[in-house]
Amino acid sequence: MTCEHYWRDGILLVERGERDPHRETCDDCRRAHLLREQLIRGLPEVGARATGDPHWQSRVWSRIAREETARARRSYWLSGGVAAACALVVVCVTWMARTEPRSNDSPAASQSQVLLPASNPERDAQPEVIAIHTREHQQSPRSATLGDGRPRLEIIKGKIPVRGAVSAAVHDRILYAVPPRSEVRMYRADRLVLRCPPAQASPGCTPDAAGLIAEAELATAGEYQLVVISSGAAEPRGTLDGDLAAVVAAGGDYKVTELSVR
Amino acid sequence: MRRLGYVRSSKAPSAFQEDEVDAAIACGDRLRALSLLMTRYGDQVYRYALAVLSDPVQAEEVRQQAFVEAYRDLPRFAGRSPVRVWLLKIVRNRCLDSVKATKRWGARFKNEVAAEPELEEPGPGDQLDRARVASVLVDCLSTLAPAAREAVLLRYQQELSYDEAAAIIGDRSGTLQQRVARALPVLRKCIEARLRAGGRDDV
Repeated sequence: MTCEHYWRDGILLVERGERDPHRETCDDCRRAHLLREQLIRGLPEVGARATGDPHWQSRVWSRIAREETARARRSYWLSGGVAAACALVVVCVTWMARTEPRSNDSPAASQSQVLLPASNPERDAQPEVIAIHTREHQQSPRSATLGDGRPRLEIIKGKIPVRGAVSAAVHDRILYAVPPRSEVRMYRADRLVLRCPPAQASPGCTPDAAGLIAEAELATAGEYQLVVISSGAAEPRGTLDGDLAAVVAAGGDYKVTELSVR
Repeated sequence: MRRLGYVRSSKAPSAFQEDEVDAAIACGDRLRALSLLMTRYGDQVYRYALAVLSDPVQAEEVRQQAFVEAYRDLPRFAGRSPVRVWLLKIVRNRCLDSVKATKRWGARFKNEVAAEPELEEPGPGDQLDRARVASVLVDCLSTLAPAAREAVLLRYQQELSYDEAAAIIGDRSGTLQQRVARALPVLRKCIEARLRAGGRDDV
């Protein structure tokens, strides 16, 4: 009678990388183990000579080219639609402005397009204003756009932005103005790339009377996380999760804004 | 002690090669990254899809779809797992889609299940036994339950560690170890039976 221990229990020990003392004393199990080894050696050979379509790579490139063309066509029509909608809005606003005089004219409102995020009870408690500007509006960005209402995040784009998610393009700049005693950190792919401690001047960090302004160019594409720590800023370790955990451990308070740069 | 579960074979692509792909991705050079990925992993991806789907046409379709999708998603690749694991995850999802589509098609038109892949002709000399075992293995793998087949293929055909295979499938490593430990005896019995039957046919 042959020993069935190996196929019943011993094989699981092998898969787990654990020692099987029984096998050392059982010839049947040693033979069974050799059979298993033979079987395992054969598995990488499965389909080893099968290569499929010899021109598959060029077919992949063709598919990608077709997809890109279709996407470009879609965005062309979409941007045309957006432009038409914008033109309609401008006409309506102009018409309304002529027929009804404004009661509260604000110089700041005429210089920048201010987008308020959708209503959210948590955000409404501490409203965040995202102001998106074109380059033509940036002759004096700080004096023109900063003032009260900090923290204020501005994305300075080369093109007219589409209203919606917080996103930016490579080589856009961000400008983050925060109140006194707040620290700004910028992470890319969860790694710290810029740190502006409160009231400390350094490249990209400018303290001013109302707090601090962090300014940086979004040089590469990727996912950015902008963090404002309003209290309890612990010494950063360099990774987003670790640093936020340290802030929480220090009893601090923080706010993260995700920014997708394409 | 050597932990078998975490041993990478010398056949697996070296870390250097993966670094090259990672570097291309980090530079945002999607064209080069995809080109490297296709050169390095194209055949592996096809063999895996073929072993899972048992249909060369579907396997080829899955391979092409997977690389198109990889190109699209490269900017979102965060490097949390090796690029090969990430790629195989895409391939697995496309294989699952393909299996579902085949089932729907079969149910709607009452077609038979896709034909089994052609067995490879045995080569001359000492290649004979290996090629024969390999072709029998293809047959026997298709008798395993899909989950067990997937675990065996990822671990021993693709030569991933259990942790990497678990990341692709979305199960725990221990579960996969048990699945493989249950599947191997079934494979062994199947191979022995088929080889015996083949031997009798030869006589």
